[in-house]
Amino acid sequence: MSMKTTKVDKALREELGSREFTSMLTLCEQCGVCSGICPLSKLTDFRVRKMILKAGLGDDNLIESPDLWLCTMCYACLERCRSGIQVPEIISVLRTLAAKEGHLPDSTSKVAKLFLKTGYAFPISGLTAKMRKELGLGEMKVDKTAVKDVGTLAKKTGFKKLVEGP
Amino acid sequence: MTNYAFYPGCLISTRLPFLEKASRLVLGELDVGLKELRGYSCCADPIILKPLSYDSWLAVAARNIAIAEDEEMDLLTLCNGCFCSLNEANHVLKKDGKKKEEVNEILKEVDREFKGTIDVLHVVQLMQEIGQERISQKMEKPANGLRVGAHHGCHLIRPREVAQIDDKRRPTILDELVRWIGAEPVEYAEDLLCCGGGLMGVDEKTGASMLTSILDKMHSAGATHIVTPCPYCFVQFDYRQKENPLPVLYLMELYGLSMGFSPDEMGLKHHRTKTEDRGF
Repeated sequence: MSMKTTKVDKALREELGSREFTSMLTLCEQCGVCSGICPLSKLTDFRVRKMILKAGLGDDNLIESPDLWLCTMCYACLERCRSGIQVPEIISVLRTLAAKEGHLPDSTSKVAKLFLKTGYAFPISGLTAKMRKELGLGEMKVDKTAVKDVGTLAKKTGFKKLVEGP
Repeated sequence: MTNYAFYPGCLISTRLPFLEKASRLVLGELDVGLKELRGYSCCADPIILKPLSYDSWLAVAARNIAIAEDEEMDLLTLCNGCFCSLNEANHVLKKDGKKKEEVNEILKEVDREFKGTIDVLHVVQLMQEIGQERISQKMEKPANGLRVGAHHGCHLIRPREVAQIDDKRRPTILDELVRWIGAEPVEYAEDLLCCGGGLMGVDEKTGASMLTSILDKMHSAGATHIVTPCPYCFVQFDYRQKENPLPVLYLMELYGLSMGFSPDEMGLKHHRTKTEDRGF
């Protein structure tokens, strides 16, 4: 039987290395401990166990799935998995792939762009300045060196292209 | 006096400067010297930016650590997100020579080098190091009888192998730190689950439900206050409680109040949940 290589398949192999990828396919028992501890399980239809199954099968539908962005990287599943499967890393690889394919959620894109523009993930507002002054704390400014360096690193590592497009 | 390279992080510096103020007061009282860092950026955060690009995260974190390395001091952070991110990057790069080489090749472009000479510390670990005895000596107004819902926050304690903050399967370090100053941590289910803060941008309804679920457990357990060492959890608890809100304190604020600093000098009025009228 020949297996078709999918985008998900390729991304996981390249990013996680063949050993980890193979272990994911062969070691995940689909026991569901991950879904059991995942706080999303009782509130949504999202099941992390199913996502890992689909990832292992190279299901490209994952790329457009909004579920990919629900995980808050709380690492609870990582602690529980008896097979040592790096669930958050797998989801991260899938997010990078989804972003490359143009499926970056607005809220994520907004934070990433602010980070590129200011070096920080949160905006410095007039209220920030007022509160800091009142509390006797030093001024908080956008640091030009930090912005320049973040820009250089972002370009070099492909992050800039990922966020702003080619 | 022990000195640390001080990395307050961008959430605290921009939105919650009163947490920085409380921390500076408490650390000063405990003879901890803080060296201000210049040119640092967001860590990058473990919820949004890190999962988007591992390579970019590692390079940015390595650059921030390198800035602290220049001061030849361990890096001290007030934030779970910064701790998780910088501590993990530090672990990865100290352990993996090949990765370190790759990252340093990239860092050359910004005239930086990761050497692997310092440790990354969360302020919770620093309190552990300072110890109960010295902290007790500074207590002027112990929080006796305060029933606290102590919320560690995910990125202080996980991944356990990297965080190395509490070797138990079920960490209790925050409960201990709360007990040291006379307060009583209540036992509640879901104490180690995500507060939902990281989800508010993508799916506000689910993020809010995660919070409500935890709050219900805290209320049932009879908590009168919420204490957390994480600014992300702080925002979630302080901004988004709806019915019968419990006052929320960042760990350093609780310590500050116990040391006798006034709510005014710590800027507690900037909290959305009111703290003063609850008798502490």
